[in-house]
Amino acid sequence: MKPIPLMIWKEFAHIRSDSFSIKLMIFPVILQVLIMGYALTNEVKNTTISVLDLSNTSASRSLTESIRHNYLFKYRTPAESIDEIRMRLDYGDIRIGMVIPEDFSSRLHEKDGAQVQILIDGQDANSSSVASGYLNAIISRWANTFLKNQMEKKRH
Amino acid sequence: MFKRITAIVSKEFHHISRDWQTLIIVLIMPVIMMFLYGYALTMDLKDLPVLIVDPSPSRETTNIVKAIDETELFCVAGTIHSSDNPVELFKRLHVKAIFRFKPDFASDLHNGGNSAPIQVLIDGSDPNTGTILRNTIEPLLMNIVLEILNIEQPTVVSVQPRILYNPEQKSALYFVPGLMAVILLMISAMLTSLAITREKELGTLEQLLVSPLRPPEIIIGKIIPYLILAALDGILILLVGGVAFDIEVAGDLWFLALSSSIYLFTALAMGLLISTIASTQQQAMMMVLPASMLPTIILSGFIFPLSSLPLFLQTISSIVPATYYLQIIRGIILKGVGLSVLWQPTVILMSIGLFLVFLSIKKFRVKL
Repeated sequence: MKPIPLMIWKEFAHIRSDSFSIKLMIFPVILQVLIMGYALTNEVKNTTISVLDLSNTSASRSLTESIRHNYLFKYRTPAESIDEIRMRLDYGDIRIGMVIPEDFSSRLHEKDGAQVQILIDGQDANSSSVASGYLNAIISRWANTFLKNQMEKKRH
Repeated sequence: MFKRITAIVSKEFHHISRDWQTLIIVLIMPVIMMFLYGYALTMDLKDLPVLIVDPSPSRETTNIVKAIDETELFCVAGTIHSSDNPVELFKRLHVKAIFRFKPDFASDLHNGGNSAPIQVLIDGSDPNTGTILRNTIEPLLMNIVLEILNIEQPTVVSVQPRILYNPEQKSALYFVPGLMAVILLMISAMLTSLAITREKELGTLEQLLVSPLRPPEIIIGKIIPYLILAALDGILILLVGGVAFDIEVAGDLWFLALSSSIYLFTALAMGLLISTIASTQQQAMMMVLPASMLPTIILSGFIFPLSSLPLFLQTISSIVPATYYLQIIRGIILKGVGLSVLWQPTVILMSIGLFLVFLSIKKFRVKL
């Protein structure tokens, strides 16, 4: 009899009798592929954000709405004070806090424009920079739409 | 009783000191991992190669292309005049985005009546890069075009960002706590379960059991050396972090020690539990890895943020002890908060630990 096929057959016989090894070959593999397929992502999704709107004008509300409806962020209850934002950041309840100052609406029409402050939980440098980039893009897009609407109004 | 426990402890230390390979792994690997994670793991987007398709080059398009090249984000790999199948281009060249100008772009631009579109095709195979590109290209191009047309774009809203807890954005500061969780778990769970199953395999555990030693004394005696090793490793990680990466603990060191001890007990209980189920070292190793190491590395928020996980995985991560430990020590090291903020994860971690200890003691009594 040929020695090598015999050894192969003997080894398979060993494996067959070792049910633990067989189970080990099947289940952890399936488990790991499933978990890694879903978990191994560096997408930044569902970043929790809370807005402190000190201006409470139609402009600030429209900005808040555009953030609320954006699929990239998880909009949490609006904050009542800066201290609340700091506390919720400490607790980990939110990862980004946005503060719209009182003079937001009036400064929109000025040359230098209005300001918006964002407080970012910077522990994970990567995802926080991505998230703040998203937020910047959302705010810019809102600003451009706002500007366009303004110019439309002026034309009429 | 203490004399007997001390005897087992010193026996175990003798075993460990003779196994210098494991010792090297235990002491040197954390340092290596720290340097790996601290320096290598960065996901900056810079100099992404892009292709330009410009059927009718003009001064305007050339200026736009030059401005794109000058941004930090992009690096223009080349310009071609036409393409029938842009998807083919992605496959042939390794570009991340293709900018396509319409023919007669310049006249459209100055005409005002027709808008002058620029089509951007983005390589979406890496969703992270793809999404970032999609969100940043529009404002980027708009700024470039407006600058070229010399239109003063009034600033409507300017954003003042303020980064808390890690102002210098050091990735090491984020990874070091996670590394502590992984290493502590590895030593406590893996080495302990290996040590006990080794004795089971060799038959020496039976001999210990027929000696005047009582089972709890054997267990405690075997666990203590690994507890000490794990604690040493934790201190080593923090020291290396402080020296090489300038990591400073913003919060209370005692609370850090306390919560790490709770986590260590939890990890040890896991190791014990596995050693009661496994009959050989090989089995123990095969069980430890998917049951504790994998969830700790992937599902605890160590590298991959929990918020990005799908819901059913987030549920699983809520029973992984490392999830809570990470919340606690990140809170202490990075945020500088104390028990008043972190009481919830602390209590949960303690409960998981007590449950695992109880379970493993019960199983051990039954098995023996």
